Amino acid sequence: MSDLLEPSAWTVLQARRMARNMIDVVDGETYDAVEHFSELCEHLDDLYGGYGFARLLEPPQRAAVADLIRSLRGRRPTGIRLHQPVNSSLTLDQGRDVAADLASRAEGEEWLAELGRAMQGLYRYLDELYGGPGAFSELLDSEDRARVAQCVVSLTVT
Amino acid sequence: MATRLAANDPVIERQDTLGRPISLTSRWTDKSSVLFTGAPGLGVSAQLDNARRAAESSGALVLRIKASHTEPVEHRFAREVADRMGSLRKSFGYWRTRRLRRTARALVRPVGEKSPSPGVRTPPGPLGVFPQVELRLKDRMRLRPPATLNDLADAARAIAEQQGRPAMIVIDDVHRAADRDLAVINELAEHLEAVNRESGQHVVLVMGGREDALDLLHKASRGANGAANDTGRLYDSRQCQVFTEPELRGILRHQLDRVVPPMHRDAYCHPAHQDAMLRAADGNAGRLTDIVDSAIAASGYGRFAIDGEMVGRALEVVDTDRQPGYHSIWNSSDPTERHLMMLVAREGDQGLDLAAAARGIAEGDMSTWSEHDVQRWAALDAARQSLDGRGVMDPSPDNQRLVFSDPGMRRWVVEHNPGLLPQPAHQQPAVQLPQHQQLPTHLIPGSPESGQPWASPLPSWGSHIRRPAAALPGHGTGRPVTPIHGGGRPRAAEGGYGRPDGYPGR
Repeated sequence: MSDLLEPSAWTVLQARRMARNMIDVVDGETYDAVEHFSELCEHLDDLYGGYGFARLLEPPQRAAVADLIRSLRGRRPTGIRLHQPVNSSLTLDQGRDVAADLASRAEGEEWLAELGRAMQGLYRYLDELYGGPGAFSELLDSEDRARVAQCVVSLTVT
Repeated sequence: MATRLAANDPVIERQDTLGRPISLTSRWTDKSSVLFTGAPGLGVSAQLDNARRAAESSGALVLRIKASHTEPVEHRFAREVADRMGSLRKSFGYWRTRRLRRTARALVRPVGEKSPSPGVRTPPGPLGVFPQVELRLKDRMRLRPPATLNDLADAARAIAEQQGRPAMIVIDDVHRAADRDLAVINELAEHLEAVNRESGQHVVLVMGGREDALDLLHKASRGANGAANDTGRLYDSRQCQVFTEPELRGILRHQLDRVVPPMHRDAYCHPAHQDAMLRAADGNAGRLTDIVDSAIAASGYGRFAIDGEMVGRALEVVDTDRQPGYHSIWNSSDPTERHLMMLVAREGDQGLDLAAAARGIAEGDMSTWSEHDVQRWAALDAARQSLDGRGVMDPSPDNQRLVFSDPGMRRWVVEHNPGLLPQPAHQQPAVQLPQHQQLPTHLIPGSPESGQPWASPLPSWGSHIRRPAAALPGHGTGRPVTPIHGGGRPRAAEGGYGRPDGYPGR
């Protein structure tokens, strides 16, 4: 399994550690961005089950998860699921914009630009798990997340 | 990996300074609201996780959110209920959860929104022949007030009474809440206390936050009815202390056991390397988890044994990742706070001896001090409170010394302030702060420009010196006291609360 949240040079663990370290010392929109990143990771924790999200799944495993998520989403019409994580002040669309904004920062704190790139990597990964570019437009609810977690655990247990 | 608890993870029993267990699963409370406090990495959220897990396993209703200063708590509860409605319906049934769902929706209803009175609408007929007709019982709109957290708690109570198990409302990171939200939480706690007193404990409020969370709740309660100046009565406050060595060892072993079976633990990571990681953690479980996670990743998740080089690299990586945080803390501190940080950093890991420091400002009892000395003390005390509230510093367990919560921050301060410690002439700090970020040399005690020998004006909190009432927010004596800030961010009164209505618009 890979660890890098490309285009960022950070691994999943490193990016999560940075977000945890920085959330208490940032403010305003930066705080919202760091919080949003952490919440997306927690969403993946729920999708992974077990000990949570620390590494990226292999491409075949991602495809299997995408099939399951596609079928779960097909059972109910779109629009009734959340478009904003419970503990984030940003919607998913706003989060994408903020990630692009941070990643394109030419000056300022380097860690923030790297966090933006890591967030972009996270969105790409979630898009892949949800079935394709831009597919991650809503959050699976707690019931569906539990089903996906069963699938991921069965795929990753060796 | 990360820090997540899995369903079958063992629960580490923590104790307070009196040796009593602090976990809700071990020691219940007759109060309706419990507040866990502690610095980052000391297991506050883990206590909430344990409480939630125990409640959910018994079939109780649990709603959990994290507070934020950028969004009202009601919005987060509304999303939490919406997110979990499917599973809640399965657990409690459609009709039992109906009121909860409606109340949650009403939490985010704008104030003053009106709805049409009840009416009947005919089905649409063939186009252009029978227009759709709508009949209304009254020809006026009804005003629909938005719901409050108290209403949500009442809706949860209705489910709990039918289930026979108390419902749990969980709020993490209370110290990050805006003042308005803190007041709302106080009202909720007061409401629960009153209702539970009458009809039994059906809904409990469980919260977690940093050390200053209770102070912030107290500050927010002033002027409010009911809860005013009564937060001590409302909340059962339980402090998460620094982890003991056996507790940390348990966490370390458990992390290693996720990768290899327990019987291979010592072969995978030699006990000497385990000890090195424990020492480096400095009593902080968050830091230990970061170090062990990095070492495990370096070992290829169990493909190789963890050696000394991997441990060394893990320590280096974890310390490096904290550097931007240290820098931000330094940048967001005022000169007096930086001065205090340097005083404490200079004293090494044992911290600043407050009793000795007190003698540096003036002899005798504080009541005999001159006004000038008192003002110097007040400024430094405000800095101490602010740094304590932000989680940068802590008093030692015996309350006699002031130490950095994170020893890495002490090392950073020493490293970035040349001349703070006597160094051989050939040694220079690896990185120097820009000139504008450095403390003026005349403020560095003991420096030639300061013209004064090393002596801190900080008084002791020891038993032999009376602690002035002004040191506690809310008990002012007119002396300047900086309000305690959570995380160094502005609170509501300073314009930090930006989105009171509706979901955040950007």
